[in-house]
Amino acid sequence: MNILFIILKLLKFIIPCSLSAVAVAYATTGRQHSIIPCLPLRLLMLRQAGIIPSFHIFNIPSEFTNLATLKKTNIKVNKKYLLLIILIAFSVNLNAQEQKKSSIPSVNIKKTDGSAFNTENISNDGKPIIISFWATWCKPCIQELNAISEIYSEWQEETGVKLIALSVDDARTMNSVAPFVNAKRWEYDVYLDPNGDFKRAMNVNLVPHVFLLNGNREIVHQHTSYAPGDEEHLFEKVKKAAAGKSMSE
Amino acid sequence: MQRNFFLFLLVFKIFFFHSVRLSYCQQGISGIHGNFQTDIQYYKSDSSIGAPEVPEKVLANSFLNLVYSSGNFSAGIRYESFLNALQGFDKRYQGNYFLFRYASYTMDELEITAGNFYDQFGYGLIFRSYNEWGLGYDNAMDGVRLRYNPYKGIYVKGFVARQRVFFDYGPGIVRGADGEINLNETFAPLAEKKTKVILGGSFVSKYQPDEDPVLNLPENVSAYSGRINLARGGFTLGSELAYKINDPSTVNQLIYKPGNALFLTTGYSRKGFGVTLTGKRIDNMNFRSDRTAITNNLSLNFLPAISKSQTYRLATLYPYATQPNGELGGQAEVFYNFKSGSKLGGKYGTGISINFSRINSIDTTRTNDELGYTSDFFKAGPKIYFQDFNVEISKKINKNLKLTFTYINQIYNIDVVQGLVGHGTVYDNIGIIEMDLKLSKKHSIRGELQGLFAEQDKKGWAMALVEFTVSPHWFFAVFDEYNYGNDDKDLRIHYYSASMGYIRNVTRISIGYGKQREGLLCVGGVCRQVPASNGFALSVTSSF
Repeated sequence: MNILFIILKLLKFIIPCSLSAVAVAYATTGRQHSIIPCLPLRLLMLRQAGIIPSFHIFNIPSEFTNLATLKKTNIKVNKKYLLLIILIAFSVNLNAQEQKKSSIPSVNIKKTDGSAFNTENISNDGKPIIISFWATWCKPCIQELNAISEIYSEWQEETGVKLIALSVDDARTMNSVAPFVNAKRWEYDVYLDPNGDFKRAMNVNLVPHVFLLNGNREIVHQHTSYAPGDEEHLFEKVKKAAAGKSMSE
Repeated sequence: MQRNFFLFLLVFKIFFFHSVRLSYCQQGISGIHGNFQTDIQYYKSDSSIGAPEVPEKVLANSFLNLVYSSGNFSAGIRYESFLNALQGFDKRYQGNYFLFRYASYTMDELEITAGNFYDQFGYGLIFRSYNEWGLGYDNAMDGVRLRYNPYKGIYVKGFVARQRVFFDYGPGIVRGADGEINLNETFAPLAEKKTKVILGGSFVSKYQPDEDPVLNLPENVSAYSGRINLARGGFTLGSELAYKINDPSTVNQLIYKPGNALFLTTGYSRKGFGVTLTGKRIDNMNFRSDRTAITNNLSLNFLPAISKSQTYRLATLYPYATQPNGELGGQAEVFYNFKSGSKLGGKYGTGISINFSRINSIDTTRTNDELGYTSDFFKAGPKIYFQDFNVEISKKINKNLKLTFTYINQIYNIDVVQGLVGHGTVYDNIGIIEMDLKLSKKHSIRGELQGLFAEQDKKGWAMALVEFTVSPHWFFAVFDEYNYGNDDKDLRIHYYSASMGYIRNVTRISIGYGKQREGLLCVGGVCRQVPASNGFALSVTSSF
């Protein structure tokens, strides 16, 4: 294997941990900022440990070559250096990584009794989860949840899926959510997101918006709008998620 | 400032265009995600409906939100473009800007946000910052916000910030803090009790220099609120009481009277049945970070309109918006579903929902001093602002056909609610029939027939809509609104339009053509006046 490839593979672990710190530090102060140099320090340590040869893919300034002085001094990061780090990080990852699915962000929402609930606690024992953003004033949302409620028990029997009905009703209508849901005899888990914190974190523009999570709580499918018949389409995806298959199979 | 945005843009641009997902050696999955929407309209002037000449011909509103998150860290930025803003949006929304940028980090139980944020305290009576793109409503805060969960069931948050107005900041500095305790979670002996109790309190203060040469205006205005939420079985109770010290402003005509608001809501539900009862009293609760601001600008709080959020077109002809200077009202709702197989339920079940709401002015007695007026807390004023009675019955006839019948009776005070003079009060009745018919597994057709009957204002309207959908990708709709009853024969116009759209997972593209009547577009109690228009509209939304 190519020596360059080994170095790049190792850099993969190093560069990201400095990148976000640099980006934030630079953006908030607007000037060259001294950062904890995890990049050159680790490179140096690896080099000293003999893991990487003295081949350098870019010039490391002389301050970096002495491990002892490195720890004591503040090292200014050059702007060109930063751009190079970004480009390398991006190219490294393009080679070395497959696309990873994202999980849901951790946001505080409410249960219908008013208590706080964190979305990181949304789970279904390794079985698929559907998160449906809806509102009591959204007709297509109600149509969709009605259509699914008629076959929900069959869906649950076949795949163990759980549907979480996340209402984006604000203070005007959030008090009607529990009575509305109970009157319709829906068996879903209902949560409230009155100021849209979770809706924004999930990048939802319009309701209805449905997310399908697989057994690992990763988002494998999303859909917006509702037309009668869409629930069949959704169930096909749920079955694939339950079987651990990818959506494109 | 510019360089900060440029660097953020550079970092995000590289990741965005190559859809790279960084994986970290620690736990947590990371990546770039975001959402996008653009609304573009082409306007033809049309004197028959009062559609004005639009010199730009094409107007467009767009935004792109980008968020980068990894483990406990997230940062985001938004790009907004108004070239120029659509009709009905404030003309000061003009140009392209990167804004709404923030960085946020959570460690242990403390979450720190630097930059822009939205938040709400309780029901929002003294503080709510949020955005509603369709209305051009965005009162985002910009500063530092902390959220802390020191112990089970105790939540504390606080901020110091300025507030957004168009592409600038309002003159005020706002500080706020909110605390909430869930007694059943905090105190172990209460954990198994059937009754759940949550208590909360908040404080918001704004500072604005006094530049008035005549009046002595308070520079620091504070507002306080306390809330109690109870839940037991199917029963819930929510309440919030707010108080604001003297706050002379343009909206309350520079009076020194303190303000107060009370919001009370209860509900009971079990399978097949639900009922809610809500009461509200608002007295001089306009609270903005700039005392001279009006309309939708720089509001710090949100006073919920307690009337049904209407979805049918003609029912939105007269939408209600809360009157911050004073109102007293209540709403009652009942939801009931007759089980399938029962006598009234029929084979597939029947649903009925009834909603009644009524809002009056508060009792006021003018005083000739700087306080403006005094008001008896429990008395209603003489003016009816709004009354709404709705009955909706939905019945599934067979596997493929569902019918919904709706009757609405309204009383609407145009002068007060829309801020106009001389239009009086409208008393109207609305009847609506909706039919949903499934033609096959993927094809479905929906029709609506609506009629509004009134003897005031524009008098009678009729409306018909037909929508054909092909699951999961297509929809086609045609609709016509006809002002048949207008006293002025020239204004008896058909407002017809046709639209179609394509949806693929999260991307939705829709295109429409036709005439649209002028009126109020309201979402959640905040309204935007939309002038009449004639032309094409294209809308694209997506998220990734």
